[in-house]
Order: sequence, then C-alpha cells, then structure tokens
Amino acid sequence: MKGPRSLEALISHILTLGTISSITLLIVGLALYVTETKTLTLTLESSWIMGGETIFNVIEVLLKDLRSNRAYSFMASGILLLMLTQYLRVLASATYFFTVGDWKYVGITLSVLTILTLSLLGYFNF
Amino acid sequence: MPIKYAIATGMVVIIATSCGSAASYVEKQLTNVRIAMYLELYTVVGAIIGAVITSFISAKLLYFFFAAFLMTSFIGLKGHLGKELPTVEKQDRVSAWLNLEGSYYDEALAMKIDYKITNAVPGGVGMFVAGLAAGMLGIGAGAFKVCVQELCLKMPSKVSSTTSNFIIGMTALGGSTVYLIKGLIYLDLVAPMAVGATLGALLGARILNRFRNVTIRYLFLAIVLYLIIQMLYNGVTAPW
Repeated sequence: MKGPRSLEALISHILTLGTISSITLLIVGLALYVTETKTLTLTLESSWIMGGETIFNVIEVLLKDLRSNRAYSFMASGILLLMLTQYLRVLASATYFFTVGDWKYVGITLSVLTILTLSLLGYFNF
Repeated sequence: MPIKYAIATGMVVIIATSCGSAASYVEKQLTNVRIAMYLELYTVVGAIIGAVITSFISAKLLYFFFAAFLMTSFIGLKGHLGKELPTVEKQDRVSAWLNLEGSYYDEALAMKIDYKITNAVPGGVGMFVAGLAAGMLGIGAGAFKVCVQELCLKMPSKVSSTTSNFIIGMTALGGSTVYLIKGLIYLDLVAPMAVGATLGALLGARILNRFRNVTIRYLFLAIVLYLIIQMLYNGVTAPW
C-alpha cells in the first residue's frame, strides 16, 4: 500500500529535477549574458524585464526571442521552470491524494492549485 | 532601482532557496508535507493579496508591524529555549480531523520523534498574515512562519524550520506570479541571485539535522533579533 513516503519521494524527485534543470538553464543564460554584453556588470535595461499579461504571453515573448536574444531565453526559461517546479509539486500532491482517496487533502491541494492558476492567468493583476 | 523591482526579485529568489533545500528535507521526512499543504492554503492567499495591495499601502507601516510581531515571538520563543521538543497533550478537533501529525528520525538525538500539531485554525490565520507580509515585502517571512508554527501549532524546531522552508517556495510563487504578470522581474538581476541562493540552500540542507533543536532555536533567536533591528531601521528610514 502506498504511504506518505511515496508522496515524499515523488515531491523530492520533482524538486531535485526541477532545481537542477532550472539552475543549469540560468547558468548557461548568465554565461551567454556575459559573452553577449561583454560585461560582468548588471545593465538593468528594460529589455531584460520578464513579463506579460498572462503566463502564455510570457512564454510567447520567450519563444519569439529564442534566436535573437539567447541569454534572455535561457534565463527566462530557468525562472519559468523554477516557478513551474513549485506548481508541479502541488499538482503531483493533488494527484497523489486522489489516488490514495484522501479527499480532504485533494480539496486542500486543488484549492491551492486553483488560486495559483488564476494568478498565472492574470486574474489578480489589479 | 524602484523598491517594487527589488521586492519582485526577492520573491523569485525565495522560490530558488526553497527548491534548493526542500528536496533533501522532504526525502528525510523532516518536512511534513501534509501540514505544509494545509498551511500553504493560507500563505498563498496572503501572498497574492499582499502582492496586489503593495501599491496601495505604505511599506513603512508593514515594517513596524513585522518588527512588533517578531518582538512578541522573540519573547515567546525565549521562554521555550531549554525545551528540546514541544508536547501536545490533546489535539484540537480540526487538527485531529486533518491528521496533522508526523514523525522523523532526529540524527542529533539518535531517535525517532513522533509529534502532533494543535491549534490548526489560529495557526492558519497566523500563516495568512505571514503570507501577506511576504507578498508585500518580497521576503519569505520564514522567521514569522517558524514563530507561528512553534508557538501556536507546537511543532518541533527542525520540522518547523524545514516545513517553513518548504512553504516559503509556494508563498513566493503566489506573490511572484502577480509580479511576473505586472512585468517587474529583471532577468539579469534575478538569475545570478537565484543561482547563488540555490547553491547556499543546498549546502544548508546537508547540515541542519546534525544540530540539536535547542541549538537551532538559539541560532533562530539570533536571526529574529537581527530581523527586528533591520525591520525597525527599514521602518524608520522608509518613506511614507
């Protein structure tokens, strides 16, 4: 029978994989940033701002800049993956609680997931 | 740099800190995932509301509020300094209904520790306030959460530190989604900070369980004291 250890193992795997992947992307992005800008100083120009009306707009900008601004793309992907890792661990928890029939926690995790999804879709951008 | 960009950067870096260390804590069962999920419901809502209202409320007030809360927590925690583990004689109904309990192997004490959590509802309200502060100030509010968990929920120190670390990732995600949509994230600032924070968190996760709960509480009190001074300083110097 599945116990709490399966949930912990699942979350641990998601966090490990997500962290390693996002940090790798960020390090590659930073290396490209140094090569492209030829400086170790932060420029803090508006071209390095990441944002959009919804998460889909953010991804759209990222994909559009994939060839022209590789440093931006790698760093933005790293940050998005970092955020997605946290999102996925809630999704995985909800799935886990569903499979073991723990309905109280299915409700709790789905509520958290719904709030996060609405926020990513720009519903709280007042 | 405008304060809002710094707050947004802080939120994303907190996700990195949480991700970096949480995997190890969760695997060792130091983090109680079930309790974390329950408390995250409150912190995420708080963080989103905090991030939304940042534009409308003076941070100065919040710095003072945060300092006052930490001061009362400092006094409360000081009274529990000698206690290695808290004891819960009887769980309240909500905590029992939610199965808020767990166990972990304590390396410093060389034994398995079973524990139960109580005061689920007031603890949840405390976590909502922690989330609110996190969303508004761009901080993890981890110290705030640890105080609520130890003083109100009666959680053992190690479980409290690691569960708080786990929760701050989700709280920060709640806040940072709002900042992402508002276009307040500078990639060239966030990226090096996120890398550094993750590496530091990975190192910290490897050494925590070797310390006694009492030692962690002493270290934590020193951090709370430092934060009180910092919050008061920020409150005095911040513009209205």
